Amino acid sequence: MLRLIGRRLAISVPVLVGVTVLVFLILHLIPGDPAQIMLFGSRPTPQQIEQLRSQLGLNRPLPVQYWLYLERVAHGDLGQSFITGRPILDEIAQRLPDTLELTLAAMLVAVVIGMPLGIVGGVRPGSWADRLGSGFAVLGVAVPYFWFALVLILLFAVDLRLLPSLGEGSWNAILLPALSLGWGLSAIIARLLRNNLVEIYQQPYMQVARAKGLSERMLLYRHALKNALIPVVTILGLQFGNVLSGAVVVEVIFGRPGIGSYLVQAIQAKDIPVVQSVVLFIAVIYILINLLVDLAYGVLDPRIRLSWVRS
Amino acid sequence: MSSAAPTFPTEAPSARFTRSAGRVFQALFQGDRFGIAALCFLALIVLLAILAPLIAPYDPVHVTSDNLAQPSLRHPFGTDQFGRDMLSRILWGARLTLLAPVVGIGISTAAGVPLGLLAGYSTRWLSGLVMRVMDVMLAFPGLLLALIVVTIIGPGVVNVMIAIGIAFIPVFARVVYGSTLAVRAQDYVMAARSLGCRPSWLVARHILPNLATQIIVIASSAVGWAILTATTLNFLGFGVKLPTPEWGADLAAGKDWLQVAWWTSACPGLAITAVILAANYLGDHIAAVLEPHSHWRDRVQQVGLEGLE
Repeated sequence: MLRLIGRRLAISVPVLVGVTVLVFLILHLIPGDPAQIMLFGSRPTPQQIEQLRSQLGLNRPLPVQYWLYLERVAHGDLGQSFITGRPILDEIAQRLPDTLELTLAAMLVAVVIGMPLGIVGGVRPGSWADRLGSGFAVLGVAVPYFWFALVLILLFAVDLRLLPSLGEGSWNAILLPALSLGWGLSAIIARLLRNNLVEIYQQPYMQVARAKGLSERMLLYRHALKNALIPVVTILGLQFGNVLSGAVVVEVIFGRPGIGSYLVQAIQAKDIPVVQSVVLFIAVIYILINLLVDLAYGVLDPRIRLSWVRS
Repeated sequence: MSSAAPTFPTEAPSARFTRSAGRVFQALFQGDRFGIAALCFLALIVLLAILAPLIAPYDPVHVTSDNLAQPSLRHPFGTDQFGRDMLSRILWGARLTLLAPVVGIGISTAAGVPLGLLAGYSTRWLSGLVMRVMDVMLAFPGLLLALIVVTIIGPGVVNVMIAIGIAFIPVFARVVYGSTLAVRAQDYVMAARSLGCRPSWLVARHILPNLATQIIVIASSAVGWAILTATTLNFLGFGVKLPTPEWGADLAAGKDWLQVAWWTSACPGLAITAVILAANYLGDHIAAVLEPHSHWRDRVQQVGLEGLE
């Protein structure tokens, strides 16, 4: 098992290195002189530009610069924001919990809404509940979450005055953002789970179990659901990145001070080191989550574990 | 073709292509009701977008004093904060809103397919290099990749198209790569090779035609995603410059008037939803017509293109 984890890790390392290369290159791919881009808007004197150049090693060959960048990042030095002058790592550390909270809450919403819908539809395909669920699933993928967020605000915050629409702090401030961010994923989960269940209910082992006289309840929980949930776990992992990057937009709408709104501000202000750092963080989190999901697979499904051993 | 003599296909390839394209076109109007409805709906929207200068009741950027007017007979969709007619803005906005994802997907096809072919049919070293770069790109969620591109090349209408195009390259490259490997193992490819076929000819004549339907299916499945991403980028303010009408940007503008004028956000929001919905149905429909038996079609439908391995 440990060796397998090691092998899976070994695949992630080149990707991680590649991610740092790409993030490093952002600054150099922007047309123009990096030092001037970094001092954007401040009308720098030639001396200032020269000083920044030597400070960041911009006069040295690109590979050397990359190595210096990697060294800095490894030591936790992400540089400073050009706009506020604050260390980026502090800023991210302060904002990251907020974004992770939103992302996880959205995934929770997706599971809580998507699973029951998927189960109801999968157990009784063709029933009115199944049709309702399918209709919901189609809409869930099509309605843009940034508009859905506005509809939710209009409904719950403006008309009904039940929930706060902006900011954070009180426990219920997370509800609307999480709902708008998670609802698209809940539709995907519902559809996937439903189709898996329909397929599983046709398997011979289900007929055997039914012939043995097991109750429908036991059939579902013991035999069907366990198998149907494995692909759902995969999707949760694959979609984590989408939810995380969707948080960028949702944070802007609800005025939440997470890394997403930080990123958007940084892009608007051309605060390149901030963009680089936030992007790096999101990519690394995404890679780690997918690594965890792959490993969770093996724990969940003995067949996959076995295929690992064989390969 | 005459039916009397023993026949071999004697048509020119171009005629054969036209005929099969015609047959596919016919097939698109059969079967799934929702798919046909989606096709007609999108065709109608495209027509309205083209005819916008003729049919839009008002100038979409003309500022009037009749601001935030409720939907009425004069302004069926109301007016926005500058008194501009929402219906006219929706009609005009359809142009950029639809053009951006289509051009974007065109870019990803034009770049991703050759990369996938190159990786699938070249030296191990080159293939490894291309696919590792694609892996790195896939390590970023699609929207984030598009945002990175916008950071590098700056905001703007054309740049949003490029951003969408680049963000989707790895998906095309990966699928084409996988299929190229599968096709090159076929006997007829082996036969062509042993006859001394040059690799470029082999790829163009024997491999690419076999991937054509698959590429069309991915491209059409990707359109819904591309519309969402394009409108998201515009919503965030990285696309069109106001007052140019575009649904995502108009939605963002309407956001500030939510409490007093719901229609300024509801109209573009509904329009985006309807178009994505239709694009998804049409994508499914095209896939069902072109690749009725492929298992990965179900996967695309269930989990989206990111679920493709």
